[in-house]
Amino acid sequence: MRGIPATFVAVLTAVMILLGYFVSLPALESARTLLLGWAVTLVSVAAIVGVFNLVAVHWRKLFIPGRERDVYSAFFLLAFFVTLVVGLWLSPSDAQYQHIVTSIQAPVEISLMAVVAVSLAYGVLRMLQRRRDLMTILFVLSVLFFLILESGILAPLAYNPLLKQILHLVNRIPLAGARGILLGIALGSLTTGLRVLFGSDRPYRG
Amino acid sequence: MASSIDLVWVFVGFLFTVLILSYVLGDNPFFRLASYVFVGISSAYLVVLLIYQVILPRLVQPFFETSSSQLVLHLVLFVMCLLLLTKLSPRLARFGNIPMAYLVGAGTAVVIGGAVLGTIITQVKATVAYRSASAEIMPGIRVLEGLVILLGTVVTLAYFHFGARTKTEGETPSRPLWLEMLSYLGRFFIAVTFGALFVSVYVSALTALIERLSFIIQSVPMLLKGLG
Repeated sequence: MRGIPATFVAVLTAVMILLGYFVSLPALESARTLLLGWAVTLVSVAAIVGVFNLVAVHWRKLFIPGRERDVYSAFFLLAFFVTLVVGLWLSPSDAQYQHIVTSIQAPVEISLMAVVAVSLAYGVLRMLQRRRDLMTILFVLSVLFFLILESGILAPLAYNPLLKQILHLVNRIPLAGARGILLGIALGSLTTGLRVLFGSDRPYRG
Repeated sequence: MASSIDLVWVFVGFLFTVLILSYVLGDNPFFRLASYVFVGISSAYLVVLLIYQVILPRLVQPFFETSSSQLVLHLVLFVMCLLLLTKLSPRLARFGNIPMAYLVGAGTAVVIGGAVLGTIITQVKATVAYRSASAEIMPGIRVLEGLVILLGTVVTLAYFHFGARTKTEGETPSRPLWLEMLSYLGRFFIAVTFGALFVSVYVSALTALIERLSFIIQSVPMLLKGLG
């Protein structure tokens, strides 16, 4: 009984928006636009709630007695409050503020991506050591082939008409696999969505 | 000639790059320090952006600009936002279930609409009526290409079909033989696809690594010159 109003809200919202997608009536389309606009605002509030929950977790890690203190949380809180106060004071469109934030964000993000290169190479080597089945061998051969292809070493082969056709055909194999995976994800999303729409899954009951 | 302010930001970029790249040697306090600062700055920047670009124009401003009839509708949204804030307190969190249900409902509709209109219909159409983009490809190869695409899509989907039945009681559930064969072929396409995707990600990551190493090489003399 307790969850019925929430289920009703979820199903009604989903049905109204879906009708706006599939039925071409101006009233339904404007209802869809309004409801999606509300969803954008609510998602933003939910994101803010999430961030403040994160801040609360770090605050507790640092200040609640009887627990081992996480000193890194102090750096998190310091960075958070300085950026928040300066941002609220100057506004995010301020060039100086943007420069400060991106001067830290950009190097960290690119460096994390750079670390991914090392981790991926290490991961493939570990996989070769631990699993030596058909899938692994196929995967590694595919990696080697497409790495060579991306490097441009095989570019002169494109002058040979037959080899060009074969390379073109081999390049289509990942496209077919990706299409199958995409369709699988879409079918899975559709099934999950329909379960929520029919009220059999209720992930909002917290 | 770089100004002293520019040098400070080059130093900050250099410092954070070195701290993050130290992860190559394993998890260490320097990497943790940089990642905690990064998360702190990014989350605060997100909050500032959301406040200025969504909350103020979409939630606060309409109170001063809309007519009284629209105001009632806007109040519904405002109340839902307030209810969502109760999720911060474990005691009051259940009051936030209604706006959460609204979000799940809206998300469900977007997912269903996107899956049907954006993926299933378009991808099935593109698979069935496949046309090679390149005009230089021979007609025979084009037919083969279309067949590869069709076969690859079908067998990849078959691989993800995990439904199994038992013929007699007590028997281990298994897939029909034809499905088992299709899914075995699907493994080939999946392995090759993941290999190609891996290479795309790896090349991007490698580009980032080269860029960072080049930044370090360029910024060291600049910083030394600035110090001198």
